[in-house]
Amino acid sequence: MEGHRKRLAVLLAVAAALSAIVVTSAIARSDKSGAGTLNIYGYGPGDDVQENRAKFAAGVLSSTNVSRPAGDFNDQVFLARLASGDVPDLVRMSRPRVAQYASKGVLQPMDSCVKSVKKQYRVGAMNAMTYKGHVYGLPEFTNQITLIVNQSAFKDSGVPLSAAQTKNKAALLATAKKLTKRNSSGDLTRIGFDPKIPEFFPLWVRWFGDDIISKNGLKAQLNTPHAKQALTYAVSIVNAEGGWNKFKSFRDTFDFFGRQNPLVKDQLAFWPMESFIYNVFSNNSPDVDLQAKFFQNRKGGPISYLSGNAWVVPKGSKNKADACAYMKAVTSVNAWLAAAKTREAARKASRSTFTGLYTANSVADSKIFNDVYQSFGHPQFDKAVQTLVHASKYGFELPANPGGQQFVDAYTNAINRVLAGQQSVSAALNQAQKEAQAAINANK
Amino acid sequence: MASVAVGSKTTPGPSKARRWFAGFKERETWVAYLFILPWLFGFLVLTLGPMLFSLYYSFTNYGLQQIAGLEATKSVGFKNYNQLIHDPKVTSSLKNTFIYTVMMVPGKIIVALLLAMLLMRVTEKLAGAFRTIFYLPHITPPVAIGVMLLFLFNGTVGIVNKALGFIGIQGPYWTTDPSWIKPSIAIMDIWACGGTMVILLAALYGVPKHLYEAASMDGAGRWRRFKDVTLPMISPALFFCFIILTLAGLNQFTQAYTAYFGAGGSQPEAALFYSIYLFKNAFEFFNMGFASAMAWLLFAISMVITLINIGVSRRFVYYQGSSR
Repeated sequence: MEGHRKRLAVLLAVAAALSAIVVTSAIARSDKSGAGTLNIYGYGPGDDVQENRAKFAAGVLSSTNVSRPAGDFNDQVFLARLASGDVPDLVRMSRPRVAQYASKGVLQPMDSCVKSVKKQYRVGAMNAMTYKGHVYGLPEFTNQITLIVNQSAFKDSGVPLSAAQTKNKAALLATAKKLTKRNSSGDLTRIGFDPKIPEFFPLWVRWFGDDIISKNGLKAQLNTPHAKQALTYAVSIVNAEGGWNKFKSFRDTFDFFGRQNPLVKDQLAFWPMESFIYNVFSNNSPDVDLQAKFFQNRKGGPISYLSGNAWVVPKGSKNKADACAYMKAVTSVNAWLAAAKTREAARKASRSTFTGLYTANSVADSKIFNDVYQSFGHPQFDKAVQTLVHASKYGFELPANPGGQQFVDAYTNAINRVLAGQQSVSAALNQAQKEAQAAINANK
Repeated sequence: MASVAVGSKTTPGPSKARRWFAGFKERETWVAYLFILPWLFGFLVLTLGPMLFSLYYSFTNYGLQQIAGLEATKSVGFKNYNQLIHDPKVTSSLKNTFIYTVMMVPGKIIVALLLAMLLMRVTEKLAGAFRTIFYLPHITPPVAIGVMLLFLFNGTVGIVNKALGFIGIQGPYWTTDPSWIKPSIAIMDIWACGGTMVILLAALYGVPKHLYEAASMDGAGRWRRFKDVTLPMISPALFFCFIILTLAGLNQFTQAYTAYFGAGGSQPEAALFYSIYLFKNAFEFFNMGFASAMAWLLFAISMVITLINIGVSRRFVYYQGSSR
């Protein structure tokens, strides 16, 4: 009898614990902070630049409690928060996502909020924040693409550095072949030139004088003659260096973000890449023999393809005023300057290199370069900064388009099919055009 | 006597429902239900509930606006199901999934059975150590398996091709060639066959020794003993593994997603399994209604395959004590 009672007590305790979980969840769910708290999503604790800017912005909202839970933006988490009514007040997400959410009415137009400051920001970046005439927030970082040249590889192959160019496509193809190295079994040991497709396909189409989407972001232009030429050419580079299978298998072995990166291991001679990588290389391999060059168009002029993050306010935000103030503060000239000064001082103290900060705020960029930046580090990175700081002036950004990830998937899959030899360029891009336009039409 | 017998046959006893309710007069019944309460709670809230919701959503336009509460959810009839027929990616992802399942399920069962039979032959002490070694891959997180796949099967420096090179075979470009992407994922899954191995090992231990002795006395060789004694005796376990692995194959997601569709993934269409396309529709394209319809199509396919398997099993599976 005693045993029965004990067992019953244990079972009741289990039932009580289950009930407690349900009740606690319900309490937690209803215990959402209202005004006086700014709930930010997608901007958790990060590096020194992130923390210093966050500190600056929090200082502007001195009477508001700022909540920044850990983690970057994730669609699944954001959807779950929207569905449960736990809508964040302010969100940081990548710029290509903005139109996808804005087209469905999930984001709050912020025209009046950003009106006074929007002139400070790059036109391309603001276009990526603008959908159907409304501005949906402010752009943050900018990653501009430049050519990274592995000078040692050029010296080793007896190829002059002037050959590291993208103006003349026949010469580029020849240089890529010359710089490519193979071992005795025919496997690649160095890629001469990596055109970085599918991800930089928009840049190659721009080289041929076109864009993959119309300026208003509502018409896909993936199967234009220029797009087909661009893909044919980029694929010909890969094929000249051994074909996709060998090329990709070798590239998959690179430790891009480590000490044994492709520059250190002489695995890549030159390639277009986003600007953040200079900071990574300067930290992990400060002695690498690199040079930064502009990616050129067919006339020899510099072009760059830009991308970055964005600050947006979801509909249902309970603290729009503070959200507006915070996004302006965290992307302001003073926030960037404060972060740049701290990083510059830290790098100087550690005898490292400061490779600059590149933002969507053009005023901040010039202030950082003119007032903060000092040449004290490794000379090759200091020289790279001189190129990087100008690259964004020649940059373009894809306009906001409601097709979002489906649009990107359409051309990514098409290029993969061509690279794998499953489809011709024309057939693949015609299919991509249909899929991308269908995605835009379904969401606009 | 005869009339009594007839009378006892025709007298209706208490109905099933009555008997069920009557059980609640006993304290043991309450205790039993309290024991299964946590499972019941989980099943209702985390499985049946979402299933019913997804069935409802599959007939609606449920998407981003509806999630955010900006627009009411509207019925779209069979539109989402109709779209299943017209979306070529549904067909191609189903094809990928079937091909992978057809490779993985028999491969895993055969390798697991071979390992289990090997373990039967070693001493008890060694068997313990080997059981642990063979079981370890099974507890390796699928995400880690997805990452390892890219390293092990790399066409240039991967250990698999290096090993093949030692025996004079030029390995394929497993992770980039569309023809070899699915086999490489299947092989990684077969590598993690420890769970299946343990089930089959238990079944092998359960085969009475006297059956082998009798077969040997009748002149049966090794193959005959395996075919006519071992296989029939472990057929329920084999059938169980077949069903479970088939369902797991149809739901393949994590390894393929981690290897090819995560951050910086190359997204080859050869690795676009049905569950991955479903996930993309739900959480990247925000077509929740369509994704729900996809989920129900997969459920229906799984049910049909399972029912066919059960039907076929009546011919091939031997249950001890059954009349057949």
